Amino acid sequence: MLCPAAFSQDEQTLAGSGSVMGILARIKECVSDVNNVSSKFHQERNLSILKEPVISKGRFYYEKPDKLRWEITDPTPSGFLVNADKARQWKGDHNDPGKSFSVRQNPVAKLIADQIFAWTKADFVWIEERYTIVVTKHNPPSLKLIPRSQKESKYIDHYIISFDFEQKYVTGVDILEKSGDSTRIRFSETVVNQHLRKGLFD
Amino acid sequence: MKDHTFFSLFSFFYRVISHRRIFLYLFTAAIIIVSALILKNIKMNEDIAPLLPDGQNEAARDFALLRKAPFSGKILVNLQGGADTDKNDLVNAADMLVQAMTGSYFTEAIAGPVLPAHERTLEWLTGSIPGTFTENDMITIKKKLTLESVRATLQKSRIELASPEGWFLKPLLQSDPLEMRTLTMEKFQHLNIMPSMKLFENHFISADGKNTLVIIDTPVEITDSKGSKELMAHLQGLIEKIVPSGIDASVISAHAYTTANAEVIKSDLITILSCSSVAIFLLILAFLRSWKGILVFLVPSSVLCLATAGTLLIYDSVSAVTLAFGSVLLGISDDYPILVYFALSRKERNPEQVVGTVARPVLFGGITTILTFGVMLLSNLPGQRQLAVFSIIGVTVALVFSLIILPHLLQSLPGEKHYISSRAAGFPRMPRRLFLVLWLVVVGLSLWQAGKLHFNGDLQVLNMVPAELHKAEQHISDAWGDFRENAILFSEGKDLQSALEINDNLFSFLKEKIPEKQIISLAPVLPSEKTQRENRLRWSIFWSGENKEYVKKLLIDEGDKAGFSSAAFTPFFETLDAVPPPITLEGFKAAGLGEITNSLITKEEEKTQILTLVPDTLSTVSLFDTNRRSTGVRLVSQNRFRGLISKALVGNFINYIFLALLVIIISVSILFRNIKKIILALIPVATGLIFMVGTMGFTGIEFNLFNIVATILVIGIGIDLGIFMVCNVSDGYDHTASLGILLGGLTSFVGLGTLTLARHPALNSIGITVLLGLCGVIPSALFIIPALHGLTNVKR
Repeated sequence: MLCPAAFSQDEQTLAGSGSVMGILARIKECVSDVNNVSSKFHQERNLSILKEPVISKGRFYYEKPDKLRWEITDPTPSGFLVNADKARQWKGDHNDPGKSFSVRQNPVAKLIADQIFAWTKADFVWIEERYTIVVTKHNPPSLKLIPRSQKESKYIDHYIISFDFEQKYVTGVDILEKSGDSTRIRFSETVVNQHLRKGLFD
Repeated sequence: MKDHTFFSLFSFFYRVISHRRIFLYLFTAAIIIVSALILKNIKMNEDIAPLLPDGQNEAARDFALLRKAPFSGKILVNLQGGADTDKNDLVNAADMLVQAMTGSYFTEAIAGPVLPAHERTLEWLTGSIPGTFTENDMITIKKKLTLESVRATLQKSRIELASPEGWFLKPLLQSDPLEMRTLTMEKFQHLNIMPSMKLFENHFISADGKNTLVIIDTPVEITDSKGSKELMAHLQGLIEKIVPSGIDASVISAHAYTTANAEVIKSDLITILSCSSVAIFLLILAFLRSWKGILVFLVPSSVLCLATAGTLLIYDSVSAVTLAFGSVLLGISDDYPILVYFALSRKERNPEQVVGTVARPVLFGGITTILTFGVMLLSNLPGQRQLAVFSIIGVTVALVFSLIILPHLLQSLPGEKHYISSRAAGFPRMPRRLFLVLWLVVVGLSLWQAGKLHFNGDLQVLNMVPAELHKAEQHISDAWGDFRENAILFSEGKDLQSALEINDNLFSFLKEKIPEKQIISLAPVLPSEKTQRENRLRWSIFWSGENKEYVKKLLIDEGDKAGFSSAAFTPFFETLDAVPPPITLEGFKAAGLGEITNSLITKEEEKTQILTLVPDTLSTVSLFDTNRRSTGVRLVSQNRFRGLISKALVGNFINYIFLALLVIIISVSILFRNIKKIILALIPVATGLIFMVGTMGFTGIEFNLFNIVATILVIGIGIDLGIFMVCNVSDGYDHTASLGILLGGLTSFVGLGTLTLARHPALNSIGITVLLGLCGVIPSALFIIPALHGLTNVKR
């Protein structure tokens, strides 16, 4: 599990160094030619309300500019997709129609979509507005995002976003809560700019 | 002349001014120029507001309240797909349209229900459970407190924690593991103003799946005709650009009505004023056959200018309906110069003496007409009061011009005065008795049919509804039901809490009388503090005893089986022990529910009103008769409003007729002081009115608000012609004067007749009914008065 103290050394804020700007610019440049992504994920949630960590596995898909699909295959199949303003959530098999809704009109869906898109697109303008960015590692780069808003900082201490220049994609996301709970997501077998099957985001 | 000392004043004026005519002409020209300058800044008002009641009467209050109804100021765009259009295509088109609604014309556009759009909403829902905890909720929760139910809920939550949604679920799960928030969420159905609507991907979809709806808020006021026109044009442009072919878009909003009415009334104004001016001018020339006829025509033309300028001195803006009434004024105000012209046309008479003689019928006719129009000043419709002011100024100016200025122009300028014929050959000589029999038959038949007259208080009949808008209205009504036709109940209090208390009582009363699903009310989700205290007490009592211990044990045991830690639900247990928080309007808004409260709560200086919507049926409306007024609830419904207006209409009609008749009877009594002459002078008025209502009853034309104006006009013109003719026949029948009366009647007929060319229902309706009245007035003045006068003289 990652903890805030682990990043105290060599940390550089966005405003603090030209090299930070350089890293962000490089990440930005790296993802600029990414049109779609397909990746496996492994999520581990360590929550105080649970006796054991919740582990889930599945596949993540992204297509420029505003499509994503988060499909859990293990332990219980379920999923969530966003296609522009439309969102759909299903439980069990993907053929289950589940429930559809507008992203704009569902606060939770909007929060999720905004976060994932910002990380995926390396949208540092959006991120900088909401978080203080600290570079914790230069190569491979790792960014620490500290919430600026009181509402979010009431629950979230910070996020850690790890990136791989080779893979041209995020390799890990860590969410660390004030309560000490954490969520760790690792992406693997990432494939960039490959053909995605039709209907993936419908 | 000795009997008419007052009228000899006009002879005196004539004599005095005849030596200083140049000053008179200069003064007149100055007045006309000043009024023309005032008209340069004319502000015309084309909206329907002047046609609606104001003041403190019940209809005015109802109307003011109706404008607070949800949707009353919004724009609705219905998108209808064809047989092959997929629902996805429809909602995509709606989304694209919503995204394009930016800029100064739009404040918000939605294609689906405004769900709480704030991350604190779910938290708020949980916090509001104790304050909304009813007896029924208690029963529902009790049913949820079973082992199976709790187990299933916890297992579901455990799975959700692994999903992205679960990233944000933890606090909610801890504070509300039993999902009691669904109780509050279900209560939100009472805030769904379109209950028959379905949702598809969170978009409004009609029951047949072929229509979707976009609801738009705009800062443009519905009474702003210029802004409405620009708004509608902009919206139409967006629709044409964005909505794909194969999907039909129809728009309804009060702005569309404002635009349609303003456009139609403007084009009507041009048609009416130009047609009536040309027709009256040609008639005058045809009868007078002299260039001096132009001088006669100058009087009504100047009157129009001065009356409009005078009205603008009193009011900020002049209603387009009032301006259209200019054609009526043209038709009425030329009667006086025509009479003066014919009187002065006889060379053997001394003009000074003629002016004194003709002043009697002209002045009496004019004053009686002014007094008749004066009755409309009592109206509670601002438009009718403005019409009265406009007409009174116009007729006054016409009298001054006819009796003081025109005689000098006619006498001093070179040229002959002519008229159509110096012989009486123009009038067919028919047997008097035949006239009278015909007249009696027509009056008898009209009286018989008058009983069928129907009064219609629906203001919509006075509104211009173009075919396109009518089709859109019909279409939206078919697709979505008459959601805009709900009756509205206003719970009124001096502050929010007192209004909410009344609203709570109203909801309790209503749910016993009509199906609860049909009630749109804030009461279930935003009760008053008093009701909240009762609900919180119920909540506390429910969780104080064995229920709390039972649920604690159940959650810990079943939570353990589902993998939850023993402390997982501590926040929930703490909630049960804590003093529940109150539900406040501020909290409601902070949770992203402000849109709903804005629609259903209105605040004025010293009062707050909470709106409740119920079906506008007779049985619902009857629940709120005057006996329930003491409860602080006021019902407003379109149906009741129409009824109120109709009732007011009948009352106004009777009052106006009574007052106007009283005025003219007093006036002609003072003038003639002879019962026979008084009765004779009233014959055109009586015949005109009876024929008008009789024909309306026979043909099924309904009597509306503007027919009151028509009635006043018939009375005004009828009494004018009656006075002129009685003066003529009693001073020894003069064919020349009769020609003047005929021409006066014809110009009135033409002036008013042009109103029938109007496409605007209000103007058209006045035109048709007045023409009917004049069909009775003119023949009875020209033929029945001389016939009856002759008959009674022969008998004597």
